[in-house]
Amino acid sequence: MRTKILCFSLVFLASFCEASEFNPAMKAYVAELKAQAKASNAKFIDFDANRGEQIFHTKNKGKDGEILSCQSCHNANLKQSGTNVFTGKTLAPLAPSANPQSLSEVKNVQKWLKRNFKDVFLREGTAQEKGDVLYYLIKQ
Amino acid sequence: MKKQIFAHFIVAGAVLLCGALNLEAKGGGFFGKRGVAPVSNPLYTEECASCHFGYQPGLLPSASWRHIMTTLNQHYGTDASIDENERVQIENFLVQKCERNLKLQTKCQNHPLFAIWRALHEPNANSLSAKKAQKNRQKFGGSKRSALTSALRGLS
Repeated sequence: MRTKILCFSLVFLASFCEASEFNPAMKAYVAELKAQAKASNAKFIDFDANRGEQIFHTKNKGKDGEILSCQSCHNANLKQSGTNVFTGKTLAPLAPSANPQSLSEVKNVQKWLKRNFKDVFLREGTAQEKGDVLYYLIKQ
Repeated sequence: MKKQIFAHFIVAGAVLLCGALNLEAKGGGFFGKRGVAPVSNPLYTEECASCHFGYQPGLLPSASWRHIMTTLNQHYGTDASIDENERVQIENFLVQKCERNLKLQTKCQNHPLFAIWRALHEPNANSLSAKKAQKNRQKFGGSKRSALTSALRGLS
């Protein structure tokens, strides 16, 4: 009986862990970003969720001269849906805990990281910045 | 007079036929469902129509689609760049589909009834309309008026 309970609780815990972890394809993408980050900065060790959060909150004079941060469209509460300030389009929650689709498809992640860094910071993010943001978001 | 009315029937028929042939609708055309069918390409729907209306390929000539698909990083004020492999797939889809549409237009324009319509509307030296125009000019005077306007004047 005890082992059964232990088993169940382990499965339960495992399912919890899964929610804050990248899937295999995303892990490969993160590894790719790590290699790039290392190549451009010898001191680089790993991505950092705190740095990612900072980037996510940073306001900048972005697209069309608007003062923007990632939160402008993705909502300060990542478990809720957001609204694109330019188009009014509803954006599904970024937090994987609220939206399992989020951060699940490499192609999609690459596309929006590229576009949205440009929207807010008027330039593409570096590999380190992208990784930091992903580390922050996966925990939400 | 009767001949002129008959000619107008032919023209109307040709125009209707062209319209019927030109519809891009799947199973469409004059006798089927009317109107232009929505685009049914999953990749196009996902990458393009998730942000805006999925414009049908036939709405633009291929050169314009090529321009749009090679300037996605500046897409009406937004960076809409996508994965290169998929960009190529979408561009090919748009270009091929709109060229198919162009083929339909050509087919329609090569139709014998369209030749009559053209003869009546685009006068040139050897066409039926030129002879008619000459006849009309003699009848009504004027030089630059087209055969059709003259004929219409004759009807009223």
